[in-house]
Amino acid sequence: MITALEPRKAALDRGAESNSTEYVLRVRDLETKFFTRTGVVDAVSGVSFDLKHGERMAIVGESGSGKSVMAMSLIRLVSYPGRIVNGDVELNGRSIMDLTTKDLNRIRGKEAAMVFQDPMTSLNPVIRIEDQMTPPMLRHLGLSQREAHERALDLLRMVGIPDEADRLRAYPHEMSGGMRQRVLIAIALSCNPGLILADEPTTALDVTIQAQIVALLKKLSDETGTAVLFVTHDLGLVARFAQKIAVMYAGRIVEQGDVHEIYSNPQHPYTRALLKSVPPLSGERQERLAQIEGAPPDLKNLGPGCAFAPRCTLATGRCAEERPTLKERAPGHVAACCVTENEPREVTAVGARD
Amino acid sequence: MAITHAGVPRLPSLPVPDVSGLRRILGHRRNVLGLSILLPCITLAVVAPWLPIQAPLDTNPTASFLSPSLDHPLGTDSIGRDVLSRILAGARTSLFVGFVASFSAIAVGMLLGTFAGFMGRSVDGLIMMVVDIFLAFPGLLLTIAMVAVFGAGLWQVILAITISDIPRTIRLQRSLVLSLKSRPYIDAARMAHAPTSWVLIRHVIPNTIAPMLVVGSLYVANAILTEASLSFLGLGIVPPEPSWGNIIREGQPYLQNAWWISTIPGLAIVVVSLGLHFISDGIRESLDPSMRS
Amino acid sequence: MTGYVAGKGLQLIPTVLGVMTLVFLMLRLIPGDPATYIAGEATTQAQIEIIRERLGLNASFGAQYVNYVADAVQLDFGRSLVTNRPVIDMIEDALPATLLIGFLSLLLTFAISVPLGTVCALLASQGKGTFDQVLIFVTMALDQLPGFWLALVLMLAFTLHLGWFPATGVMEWGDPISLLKRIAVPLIVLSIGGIASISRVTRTSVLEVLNEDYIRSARAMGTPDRSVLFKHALRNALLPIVTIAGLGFGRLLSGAIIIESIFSIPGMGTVLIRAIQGRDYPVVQALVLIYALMFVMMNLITDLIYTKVDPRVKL
Repeated sequence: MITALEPRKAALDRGAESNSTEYVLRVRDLETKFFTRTGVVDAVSGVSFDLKHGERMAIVGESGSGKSVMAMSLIRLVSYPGRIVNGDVELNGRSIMDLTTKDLNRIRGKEAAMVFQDPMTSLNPVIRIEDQMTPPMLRHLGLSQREAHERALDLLRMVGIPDEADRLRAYPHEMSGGMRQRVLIAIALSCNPGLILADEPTTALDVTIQAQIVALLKKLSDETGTAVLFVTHDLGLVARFAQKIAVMYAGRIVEQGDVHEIYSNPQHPYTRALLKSVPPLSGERQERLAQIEGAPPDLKNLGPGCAFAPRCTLATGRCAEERPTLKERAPGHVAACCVTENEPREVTAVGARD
Repeated sequence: MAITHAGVPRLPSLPVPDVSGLRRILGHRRNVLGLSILLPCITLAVVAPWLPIQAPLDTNPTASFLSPSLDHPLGTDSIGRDVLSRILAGARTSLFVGFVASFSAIAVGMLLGTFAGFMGRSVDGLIMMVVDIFLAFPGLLLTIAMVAVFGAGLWQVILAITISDIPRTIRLQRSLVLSLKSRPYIDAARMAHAPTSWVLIRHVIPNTIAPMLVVGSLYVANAILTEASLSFLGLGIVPPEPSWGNIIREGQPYLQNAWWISTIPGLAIVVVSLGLHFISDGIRESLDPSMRS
Repeated sequence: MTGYVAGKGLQLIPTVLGVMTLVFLMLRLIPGDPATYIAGEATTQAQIEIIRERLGLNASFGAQYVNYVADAVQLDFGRSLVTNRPVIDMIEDALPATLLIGFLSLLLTFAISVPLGTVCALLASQGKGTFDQVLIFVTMALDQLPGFWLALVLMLAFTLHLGWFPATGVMEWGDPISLLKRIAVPLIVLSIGGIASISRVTRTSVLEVLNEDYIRSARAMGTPDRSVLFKHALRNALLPIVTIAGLGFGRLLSGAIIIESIFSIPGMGTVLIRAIQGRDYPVVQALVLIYALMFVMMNLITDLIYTKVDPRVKL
């Protein structure tokens, strides 16, 4: 019986709910497509990565890069007309691809939980907060109503919500956006999942609140040992949060590695452009914000070559014909670009923005 | 019960009027469908007197209850009148009532609704108070009550239906005008000291025509149906003048042997009604790009 | 809550008064002399005078109005010109049939439309849209059918040809099964319009709700599909349905008048139509008023239901 949230590390040490593997998540060649009336959209085209227990990883990309669809695919939440067409996802050492809906529902919320982008619409408007928080706990943890109630209070306190008893009785429309997002985070944590999938959890919030939420997630991850996959378009936001970063473009990972590596030595032109476009807090005042020219590609009509080529300043003729694959640039650091492969290694001054 | 859509029809966003709009309306698939249903009906009804069939009011008691034949494509009724001829004549009456009643209701409603919306304050309050009282009655009930007051007959029915439709139209027009009133270009016009009537005629009213057309087609369908219901109950068009409603009534005792007398006018109502609904949907869709399927 | 109800009730008083006034004015709207009109052609002056007395038309306008309102509030609607029975007695006799049919129709409509619409929405959301599309078209077509015509067609088919259901007329209150058989066809006709529109509204509403983010959140926490549907989706989808249903009450009331008349069901509708045909003015006046008040009441109830069901609405 679980009465308080215990640090996952401690739990692991004791061997409780532990798995023999060190990875909480393993993704191999994930492909998700949407079969619409106007064409087939290749939202995710072959994504692979691993996430260890307790690790924090950021998936960075623009709108249309497929990052949200990818995150939802990890718990098979993609619905008609979308479908996972290929690949494997292993959660705590077990593949989820062939699970029945019933087994899938046992995993969702318990082994992996998700926090979505818009807190204003992610809570059911006609149900009280308590009645949205307790059912998963009853289902996944076998708690009684009273125990779940107590735990809900604990959770609200943990995410920094004052007057937690009143808040439990409240309806969502009686709370602000930031508070609702905290509630959603609390719900995600409620059944002690090993992995939290956060799909742009701060995009819909004020800038000041954004920083608070990220800090909260980091603190909770440290305290409970929960791994976090943080999907965002904002490189600046995750600089202090993530340990690993994967950059996505047009449904593929184009660069991946340790956060310090990526920030100090970006290898893919897209990553470099993203880093350049983050306005610096200090230093000279820029004349214009650096932009990436052009628009994201049409995922219904991806050509044979590199998807970024039309917008890339370093593109050559070869780029339009041949799609580059991920190659190692440094230990633990891969990137997919034919042009920068051949650059001499150096540490550029496009440093990490703090 | 096929009275018009319950509730408020969804309105298109209000466009600035333009000529190509007419072409767009006419070209739209739904409209073509609706018109292709409606125009033949109207044409048939109009040219009916010139067709080589027995006149609708001519009786011939010896030739009663004849089955459909070349002479009488839909047979004859209890006193030997040609059923097809009567149905076509009924078409004229029903369509006439439908269009005239709706047109009048919309004209008056637009006038009063614009007035209420634009003038605001006590004028608006007074008009809306009266409108709300009328709207406290379910539609058909009001019409029936009016017919009880005016009696049966062509113009009485038209008047009754018109009066019943006016309150809804006023309310609709008023809300359209209110939403238009707050648009920036109205303010701009007023700041340029444009006279109120000019603003109304040039900017406000043209933008209400499209939604009114959408609703108007539904009103016509509803009016035709209401007239038929009233005539069926003996409260509408008085026989021997034919209307679809009273033909159905006349055919009621003979349902078993001559079922077509009652059935076919009903089908005619359904067909015309469908045509009008298609037109209504078509106009709505062709003027609101976001609703194109 | 009771305070809210009372408050709303009070707000209705002006409306009720307005309705009564309008009904009062209608009689006086008759061009020419109402008494003459009601009396018809072949009557003597003396008879017309009697009618004038009976209708209280000899008093001043103001006095007439006051008398009218005072009487109405006490449920005294005078006597029928045709049968001389007190109108209130006629209403009492006819009310049960009308209420029964109205209530059963509502029940039937919701019992069919909500599940039907929900199933359609579920199918559409999973891409198995054909059955759904067919149904939409069918309901749209059914909606266009004139009620009284459909009544005749069904009567033709079921009663005359197939003999499944007896022709109605007498309400056998003691025998429920026979009673139901008698009102089966009118019930179907009355409900079809409602079924058509409510199932369409349900479908749209459920479909919209299924696409909402909070449904996704619930599924992401492993909520079983059945819970998602009943606990999360339907509770939200029912809100617009309540509103639309409220608007459909008018149709139900009006439709019932005609259907009752066609099937000779001894309800208020039949009494009303007969009274109009017979120019029995006091009865017409009273029934129009009662119907209007019933409509007002139904709207009030819908309002209250909505307030109860949607926590976002401030009391």
